[in-house]
Amino acid sequence: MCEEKRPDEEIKETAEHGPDCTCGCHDHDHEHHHHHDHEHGHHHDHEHHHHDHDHEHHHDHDHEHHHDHDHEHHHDHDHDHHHDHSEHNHEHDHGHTYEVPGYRIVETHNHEGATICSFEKDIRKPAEEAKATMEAAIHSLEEWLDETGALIGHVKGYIKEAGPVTTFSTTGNGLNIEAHEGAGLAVGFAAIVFGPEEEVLKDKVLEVFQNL
Amino acid sequence: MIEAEGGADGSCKVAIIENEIGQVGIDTAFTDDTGLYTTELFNGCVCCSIAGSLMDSLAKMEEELHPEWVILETTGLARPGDVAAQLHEYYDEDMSITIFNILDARRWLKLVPVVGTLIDDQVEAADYVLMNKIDTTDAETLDKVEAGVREKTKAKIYRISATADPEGCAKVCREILADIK
Repeated sequence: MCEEKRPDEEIKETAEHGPDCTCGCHDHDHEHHHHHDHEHGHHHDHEHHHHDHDHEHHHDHDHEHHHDHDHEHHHDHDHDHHHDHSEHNHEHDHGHTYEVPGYRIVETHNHEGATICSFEKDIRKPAEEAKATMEAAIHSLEEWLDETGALIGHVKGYIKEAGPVTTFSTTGNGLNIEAHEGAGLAVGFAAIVFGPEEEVLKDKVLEVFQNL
Repeated sequence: MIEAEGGADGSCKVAIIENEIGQVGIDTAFTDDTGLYTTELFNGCVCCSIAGSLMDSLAKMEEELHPEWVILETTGLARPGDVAAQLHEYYDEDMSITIFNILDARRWLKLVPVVGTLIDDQVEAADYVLMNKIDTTDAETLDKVEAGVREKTKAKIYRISATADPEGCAKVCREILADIK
């Protein structure tokens, strides 16, 4: 499933349990609850259940992935849009996450014949500049997808400004309170497309966003 | 629709479940600002790989908020008929579920040859089909799309433009709400 990396590849890929994993890890995975109280302002109750598993994950960083699941994958990515991708009814591959410097998350996977690539990162640059870069990057990706005969399902992103933060800390000798300027911008992006392989899409996404 | 139902001003308890196929929540960057109880389900599709998470989230919502309405925004790759069937089988067989399919009229004919069975499933399962982006789609294409949709579903079909005509869109939503009730 996973292609061999270039020898000079900076990105370290980590195998993870995909959405079809039979171990049950996704049944309680990645849920965030935001509870807003209309009468008393906004009280955010964030619950993060990341990697709350009691089983072992065997990660292999030698660019090989050993998936010991018993289902089959029949993905056909020959860029021929005259056949029906969705005949891969309810098939999804094991997702791949990549450790890319400067990014919080970079991940890819397949679902229903679509290839998905998403990332999140924090940046420090003026919001207007970030918006222009995001716009140019998405246009560039659109052009590439069009040139390669791929089809866009949905390409979307966000830029969120982080406000000032006040931190409180103590080690027993008084309370240290510090006010920090805005922590910059949080950027999220996701491309859901039909055509390209995961690795190819991921490389292109990182390429078009290299100036972000 | 949320506004029409009173969810925005708190007179009606509306909760949102946002499902993202990837690990990154994009749409919640918007829904976070709606002031509504929002749950994000990442990294999979509620119609299959993370169906269990959906049940858990609904149970938690019911316990914490007792919502009158829950809006589940699935991924564009979901099969909503499967979601409804699972909710009826494993969560509450009497649960009232209405399925909306908002389709991109401008690109629908292009998408059909690529993801035909998925789109067919989505349209077939729908109670209401909203053909969006009619402002950027020519009349001939719109008629072809509507004819194609009608072949596959008995759903009520509306033509909308969420961007160019939000008022018209809101009117359709109010009409549908009255219909549902």
